[in-house]
Amino acid sequence: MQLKFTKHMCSFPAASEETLPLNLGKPADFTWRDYLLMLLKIDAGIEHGLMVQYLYAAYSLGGEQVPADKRAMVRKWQQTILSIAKEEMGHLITVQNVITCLGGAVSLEREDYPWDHDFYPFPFELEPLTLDSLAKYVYTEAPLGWGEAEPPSSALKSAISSHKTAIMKRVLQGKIPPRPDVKSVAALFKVVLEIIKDPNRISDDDFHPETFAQQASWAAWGRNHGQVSGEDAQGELSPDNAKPQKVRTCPTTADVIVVPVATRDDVINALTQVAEQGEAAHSTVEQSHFARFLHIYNEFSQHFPENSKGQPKDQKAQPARDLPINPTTMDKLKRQNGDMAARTTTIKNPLTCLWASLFDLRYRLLLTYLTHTFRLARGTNPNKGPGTYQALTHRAFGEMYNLKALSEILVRSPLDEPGKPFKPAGPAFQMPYTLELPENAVSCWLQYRDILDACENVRADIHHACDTLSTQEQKYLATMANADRECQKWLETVLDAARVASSLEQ
Amino acid sequence: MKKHTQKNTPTIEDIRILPSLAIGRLGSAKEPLDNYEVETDPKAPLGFRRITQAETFIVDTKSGEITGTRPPADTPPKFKSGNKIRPVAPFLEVFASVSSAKGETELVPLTTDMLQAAGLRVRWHIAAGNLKVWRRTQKEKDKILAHLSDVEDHQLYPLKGVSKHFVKDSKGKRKHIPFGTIQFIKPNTAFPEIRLRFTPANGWVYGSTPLPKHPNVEIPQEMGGPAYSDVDIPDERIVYDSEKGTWNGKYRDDQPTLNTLSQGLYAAYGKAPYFNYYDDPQPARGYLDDACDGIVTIELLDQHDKIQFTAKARFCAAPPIFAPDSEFVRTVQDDVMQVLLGPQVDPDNTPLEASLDIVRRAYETVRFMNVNVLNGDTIKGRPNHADTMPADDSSDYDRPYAPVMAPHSIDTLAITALHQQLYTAMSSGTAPWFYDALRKPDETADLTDKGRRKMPALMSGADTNYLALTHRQIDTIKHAGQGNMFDSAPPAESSGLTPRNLTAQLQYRGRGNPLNTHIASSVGNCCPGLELDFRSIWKRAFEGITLVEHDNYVLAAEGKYEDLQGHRLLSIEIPDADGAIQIHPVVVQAIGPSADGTSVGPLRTEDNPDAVVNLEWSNTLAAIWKHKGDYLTCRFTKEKMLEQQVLADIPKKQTITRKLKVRDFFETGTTVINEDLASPGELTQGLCSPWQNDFRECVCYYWASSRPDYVNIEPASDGGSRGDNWMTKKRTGQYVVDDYKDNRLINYQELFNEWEALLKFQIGGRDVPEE
Repeated sequence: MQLKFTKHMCSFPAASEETLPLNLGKPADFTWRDYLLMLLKIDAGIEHGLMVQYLYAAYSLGGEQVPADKRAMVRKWQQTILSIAKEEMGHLITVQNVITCLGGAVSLEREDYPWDHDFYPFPFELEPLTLDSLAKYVYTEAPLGWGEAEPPSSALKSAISSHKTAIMKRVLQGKIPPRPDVKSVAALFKVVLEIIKDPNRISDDDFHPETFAQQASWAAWGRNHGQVSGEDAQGELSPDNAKPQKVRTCPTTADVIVVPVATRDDVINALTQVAEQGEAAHSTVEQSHFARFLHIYNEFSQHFPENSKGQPKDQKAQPARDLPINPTTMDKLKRQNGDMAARTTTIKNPLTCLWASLFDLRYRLLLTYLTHTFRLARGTNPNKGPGTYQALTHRAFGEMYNLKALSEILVRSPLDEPGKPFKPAGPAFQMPYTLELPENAVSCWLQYRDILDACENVRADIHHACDTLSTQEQKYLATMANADRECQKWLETVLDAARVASSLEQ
Repeated sequence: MKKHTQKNTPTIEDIRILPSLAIGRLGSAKEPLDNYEVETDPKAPLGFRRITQAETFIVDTKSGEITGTRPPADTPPKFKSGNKIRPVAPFLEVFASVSSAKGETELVPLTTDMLQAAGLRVRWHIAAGNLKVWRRTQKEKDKILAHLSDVEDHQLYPLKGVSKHFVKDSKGKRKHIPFGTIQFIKPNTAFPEIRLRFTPANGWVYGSTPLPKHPNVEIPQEMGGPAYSDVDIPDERIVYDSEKGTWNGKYRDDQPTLNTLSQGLYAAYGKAPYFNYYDDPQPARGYLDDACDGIVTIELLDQHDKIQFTAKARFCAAPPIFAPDSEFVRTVQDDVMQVLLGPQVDPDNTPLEASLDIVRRAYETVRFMNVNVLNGDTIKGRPNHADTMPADDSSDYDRPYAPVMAPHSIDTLAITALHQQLYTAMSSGTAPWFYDALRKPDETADLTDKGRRKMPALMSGADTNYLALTHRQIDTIKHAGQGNMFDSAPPAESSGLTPRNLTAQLQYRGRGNPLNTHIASSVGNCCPGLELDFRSIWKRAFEGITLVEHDNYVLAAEGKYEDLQGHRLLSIEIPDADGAIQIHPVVVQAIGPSADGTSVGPLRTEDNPDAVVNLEWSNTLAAIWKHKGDYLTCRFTKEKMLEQQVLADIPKKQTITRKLKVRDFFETGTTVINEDLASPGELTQGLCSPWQNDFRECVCYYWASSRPDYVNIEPASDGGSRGDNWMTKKRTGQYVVDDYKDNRLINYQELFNEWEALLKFQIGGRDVPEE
């Protein structure tokens, strides 16, 4: 976790503490509102970190080495892990809604991987899906005293009893065992909710319902995944003649929670839903993240067994590609990042580095679009028609699609220099140097022009670096270029309008 | 059939006519439209595809010969000649099934040499019909039929549509409606192949004699503004006798089950701003058109006049496609392909390109839709009264009115870009991941917010509910390119034109035929349809009964099934791949939020207390066709019920079951739709009469890439888009929301009389400049 947070969290209770201290860990030099906003910002970083970590794990799955009879199962695992990542995105966005409602600044920042965090028992890391990484995900998503509250006959209880010991052993004996002094995300939410619930700590005036229109809604961001949430849920209650739905054994579709908030009750309900989704089901047809990871762990250990030494019995026939741990395009990282640099892998292939750069640019574009939407009030432009807000929302989704495509290219691209034995690379998800929006509207739009121009340059470099791109890679680059040209055209119109508006204001 | 052999010539083993269903397109210009191709620009793969002229046959209609060809060119053909639209006149080619030197059977063009060698000659028969009036009135004398028999020469033959209710001219001869012309193209040295050409009619509106002064005749209401009832039909086009027939003033749709869906698809209109027959039903005003569909039959006769080989094909005459560089997301080809190959794809052998094609067609469709309007949002602060799906949800099901997507959240440019981003990501080899977002065919009446937001959104299907793709399209998106995750080699491409490769036959367009002659250019969500009311094809799926094209009511029954007339089909028991019986209901219940928004449940109305909705036949019957010739158990209501509708799961004691034999959808071994399913004229019988009515009354949520809605689109300064309603007479860049009393829009009279001049073709999303 960044020092700027850590230094204020000395009093925050560790996960091992059973009761919360009276001051809820608040340093003396903070007001309650300020402390709350910091905690929410910390949580946003965690949600973001988890989301990307899971995306990387999901995209690692596949490859020709996967036995034909196991491919359908592996594909389903990928869909399941992607569904969890989408739900983490929902958490991230809902937390931004709460921050906005409380008058804070939207925060999509996080550290690059690997990333040691006070609230996460392991460093956040990008790594391919293995039994070791799955064990960590199960461990961290598990509720306190996991398994104790399950009905004795449930499949979950059975899976827990079969694997709990193995999972605990695996994480405790892993290269980086869980931190003993870790603070838990569950405690973070507990503290946050305690603060919000108390009118003496957060007054009614601290809520800004007028920001509701600027917040993200399920209708716009949920993309119809899962149960309707927030105010959109009105009229979406259970059919009066509905038959009980069968609980999915391992859902492959996400149940995205995106809740805009206006009041104290809204905020409490939204954060309670977010807090519970990891550990417990959000609906009767859903399984918690914990249960889903455990299900995959169960199948993984059965279908890709290990020998007595804890090595895969068949090294070659694994469900995931052998992706690098914490790929980076940065060289000489060690000097800058101390010990954690030992857990990074530099992408040394020049062409792959270019693809990785293109990935990072699109990632930046996505995060910038997302941040910007919170500034543009939805539905409140002068015409009361769709405008820049909705355009950016849809463009953000377009960039998610690009990240998917580029991830699939990167996991097939060589990590090392030409001539060396093939090892696959992977998406580095490197954070941009800034996500701060300029004050001026014109400058906000100019950012996109810069990023799109940079993408064009990288595409040209890719063509220059390689004259043997696959047909699909060529087609993808040409299609992306075409989409970017259309976006630039749209951007010019919006920029012109912003300039006119700016000149009128002066 | 006998085999005919001669030295050095292939042996004719069988014959086919291809394409098996050719679309002609109406227009009164003298010169038919040139052949053209549509291709993707590799430098702008997301842009409007390029239209280029392709090799075009020049036919001398006097001699009947092809005298030469116009070479390909980089520019699009001229779709209009002055103020007249160039008709699209398809060629129907005859192929012979022959054995190659390698012993493989293939289809090759039938030539004069082959005929000569086999001692055979050609004879054609053509039958066509326009049954639009008959479909409504059910009076046999209202059928407009045309026949040409024993055509062996190469003259240009007019195809004359005649009805017994047509008046006689001054010479005492019964008037007719010209359906176009037929010409057996004379083979010559350069073009020795056997082919027939259908040139459709002008696209004119025909009328009825003045209304008789009779107490039982209702005079249609006069409207303010542009007077629709004053449509001026020239005397020579007054063909229908209003004294003898009921089509003018005496007929009105008043029985929802038996009438077309929608009712009143003739020149009738209710209260403004958009057509709503139910609120204010009006009598038919006696208008007819010169569209038709038909069947051509070829016979190869030996010296003793004995028929040695015969083959059939279908044709129809339809309005033009006004956005020829775009394809619709669900076409008739998708529906026919589902019959041919089944509702499921081979999960391990479906190339990514198949789903890319669907996504491309999705953005080619949505880019002509003003999605802001179709979402039901207010427009510039003004209530939105356009005919939209959310408006229909409220009027048909009493669902509380609400936009489909979040209010003001969608704009055409942004949604087009979003679909294009899907395409972009998939073009890298990424398999589609949005199967869950698609509406399944049995979810078309799910009017919850979540149900309405599934894809395709905002559009109507053939059942007037939300459009679903075909099962096969949906399964394509589920499975296409899935092997890429495991670096599997792409599936092999299919082989060429052979007698057994029915897919290739179905996709065959024909030499010299423009792209818009093929069923891949034809909208598939027929309600009623543009080229064809394809719903009509399913009504005789089972031998012995005839269903209504949009309803589960048994309209007619014969033989041992005679007692089923008047009952309703509820479900069909169909064995699945493992032989287990699956029950396929043909009706579902519409669900949605209650009026107070506190619960979700059946959307009951006074007329429809169980909220029963008929599912479209194409998807509902998709699983039966592989059981052709077999008997399937069908469950019917025990009682006859015309007015009432019931759900499929009513108590069994209220039902009866019968085993019914599934017909073959195609003529044996071919891709020609079985004549038992639809006789000439039946494939177009449910369409509007005249078809121009549909362009005025049915907005683009059926067919945006054929009849565009939103054109000349540019980014707007507010971040959305600006552009024109295609139906506006003057282009301003300010979209006019549909309202037929708004004189900025083309009105009925103008559309009936000047449609060719007023309707503008779109190339690249822009009006093609007038000459």
